[in-house]
Amino acid sequence: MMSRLHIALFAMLGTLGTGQSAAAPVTQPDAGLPAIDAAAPAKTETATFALG
Amino acid sequence: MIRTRVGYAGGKQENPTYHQLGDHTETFEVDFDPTRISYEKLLEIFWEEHDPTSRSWSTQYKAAIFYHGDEQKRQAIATRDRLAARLGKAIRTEVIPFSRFYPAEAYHQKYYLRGNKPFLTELQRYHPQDEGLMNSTAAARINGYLGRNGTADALKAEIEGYGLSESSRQALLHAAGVKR
Repeated sequence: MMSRLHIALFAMLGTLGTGQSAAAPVTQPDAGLPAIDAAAPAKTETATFALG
Repeated sequence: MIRTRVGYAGGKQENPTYHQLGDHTETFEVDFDPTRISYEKLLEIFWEEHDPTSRSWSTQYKAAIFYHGDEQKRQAIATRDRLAARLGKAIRTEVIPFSRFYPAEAYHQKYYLRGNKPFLTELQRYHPQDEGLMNSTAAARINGYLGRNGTADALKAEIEGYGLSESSRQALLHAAGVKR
């Protein structure tokens, strides 16, 4: 089991930055994906953390 | 936040697993849209969510920032040093260069979502492979709201985009504490 801190912060981060990206084009949803997945911007940055 | 995943980083062992972690540390990664949220904001949350002055128990569970590039390094060190000055204590959380991330086994990904079978089953119709589910924004959002994070307004504003059935949408709103 990953640590409780990881699980909690990880879940919280998943809800941040909601709403349509300013950088993302407004697209018609791919019928095979949830609209939010189909509209995810291709250009992102990555951050990596460990919480102990 | 676009994608979230947990895994292992920081060590030299090839292809670590949870039970053969070697010299790696349990980590999590987020892919974020910098036009929506800044790296500095993520650092602010990170520093707030743990005690950076406490000694790490082990390599597996240590606290660390794995920076990607010079700008992340600059911001990580700057925020660490400001915090040290404010607290008047040494910061033990490490700031180290990112090298490689190994995703953890599928059963570690999206903990709250995996504990709620109806949501998981619906998302697996779109993402039958574990990698697709791990990289799904909808999965990250639903996992977060099931953990009772986020705001009701944000959830209501975009829940239509999660690909859920009407009954699951209502269940998620209820689970997240949104009153109809």
